[in-house]
Amino acid sequence: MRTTASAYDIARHYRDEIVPLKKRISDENLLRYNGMLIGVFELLADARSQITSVNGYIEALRDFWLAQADLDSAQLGPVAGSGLSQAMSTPSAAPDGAAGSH
Amino acid sequence: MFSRRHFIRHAGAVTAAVTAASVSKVAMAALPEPVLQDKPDTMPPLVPNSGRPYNPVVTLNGWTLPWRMNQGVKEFHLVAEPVVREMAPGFKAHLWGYNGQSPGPTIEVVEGDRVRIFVTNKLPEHTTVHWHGQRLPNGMDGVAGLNQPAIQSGKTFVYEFIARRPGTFMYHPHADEMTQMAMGMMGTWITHPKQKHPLIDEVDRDFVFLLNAYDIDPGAYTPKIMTMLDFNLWSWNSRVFPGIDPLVVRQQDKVRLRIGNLTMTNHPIHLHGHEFMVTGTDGGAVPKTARWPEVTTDIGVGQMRQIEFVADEPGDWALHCHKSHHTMNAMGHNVPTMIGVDHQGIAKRITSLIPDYMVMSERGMADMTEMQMPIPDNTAPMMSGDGPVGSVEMGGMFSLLKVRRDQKAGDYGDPGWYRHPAGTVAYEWNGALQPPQRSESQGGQTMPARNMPEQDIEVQVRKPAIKQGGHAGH
Repeated sequence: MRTTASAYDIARHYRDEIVPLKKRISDENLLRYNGMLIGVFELLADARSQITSVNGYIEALRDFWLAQADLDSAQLGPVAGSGLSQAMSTPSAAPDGAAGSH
Repeated sequence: MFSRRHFIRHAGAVTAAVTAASVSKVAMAALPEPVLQDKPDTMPPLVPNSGRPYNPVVTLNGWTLPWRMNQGVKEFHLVAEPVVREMAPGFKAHLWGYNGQSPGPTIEVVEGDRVRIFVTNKLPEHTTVHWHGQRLPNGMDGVAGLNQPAIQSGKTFVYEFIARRPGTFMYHPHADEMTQMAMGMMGTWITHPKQKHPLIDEVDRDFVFLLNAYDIDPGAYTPKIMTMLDFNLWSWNSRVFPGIDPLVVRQQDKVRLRIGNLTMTNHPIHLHGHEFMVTGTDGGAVPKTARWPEVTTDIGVGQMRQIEFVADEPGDWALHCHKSHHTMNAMGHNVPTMIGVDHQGIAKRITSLIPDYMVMSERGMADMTEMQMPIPDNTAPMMSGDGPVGSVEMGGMFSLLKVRRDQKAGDYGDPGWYRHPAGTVAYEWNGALQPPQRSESQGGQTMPARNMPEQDIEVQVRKPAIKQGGHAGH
């Protein structure tokens, strides 16, 4: 549960702060390239670092969903064969478990 | 008992006392009212209304400080304070200066005048004023710690001396000098001769300005004070082209320029269309037989040069520092040179990554003025300036001497562009061209060269071809 919460925080930090900030930096760098204050190599290096940050966001998001899936499956309990009684009992347990974990 | 609360309360009381002293109306009543300037324009010359008469100077993008006559003593009031100086239209800088602007106002007096200068310090740190080049009592020289205790923040000090030597001088701080001069604190001082001087001619137009330099990151407002060599803004009186006013003169006027250098390097100042004589420095007037003719005069750090000429050629003549980087505004010194680099195919791929990218500088830098591209906020474009027939592609230390036959005496207003007489403008040739003569050999050698590299590397100079659409590879 702690892993889910921290993975959520990391993904949100990427989405809300890092990715917009990198976009802003790239926009400013283009203005500086236009003014011949930086060269094209520096501009491309910054574009690469922006892409890296977006990749980092995608991975953080993936980590969050994996952690969330792990949490959900832990609450569902061990899923055995396809016994009808177990299939009947698990749906009622899942909503409570899911509601309780948030 | 010394407790923290006790300490904080007392520190607050001390601060309050200092602030109260600095704005005390009673304390300031004895001083002449400080005159502040809020415009960066060239002000008309200040004709003296008391004391001995003289022909006043015109300070480029600056002004002369008025004084109060108090029992035969000229009293000036300088206020050292943080200022916002517009260095070019659209580009403001947060500097330190005097009386609302950087540089400070020009102080003009006559030889033999008794002067009293009140200096109020509104900076966050202490300061002094050193009167560069002048003969005065040692205690008035303004070196903090040596000649006087520094003027603390909020305090006012008085300097009093007699202006003994006629000439052009400068004034600048001598406490935390590096920082304060890097922030723009400096000014000019003119002492006019008290009677006709054998070595100082009377002139019709007398201009004065200081050279200064700043390192301001594009988009930022405050100069970097630790910079020693890598300045990016070179200015005259804290203005850069196209913000420097023109020097407007009437044809046949005798013109004097007094230029002081408070940057960290020398500047060869070049005038088009005329030769001039170097007639003085801040050490004094040059004897007539020792005056030498120049077209470019090199002004070293901490020096002043006074040049005189008769403006007898009508037209718009460029006046600028001949170090070509000093006629550019901020640019990236580490931008790689792309001249001759083949951009075919690359531009499209980069554009797919960075949508607004445009290929630049593979044919030199003139594209900068042709394409109007967005640049960071509060930045002067590297080269700009619209002349009558195209872009002048200049920045920094560049201005114009405008000589007009019909300019009225005493009128310093901009007369517009020069109208060239017919047949005196360089024009395009559309007729037949003979094939030009080209030289293939560089000549021989004085002595045989030893230790040559094994392979003879021939350097390829690829001239950019003129393509139909202009830019290739888009």
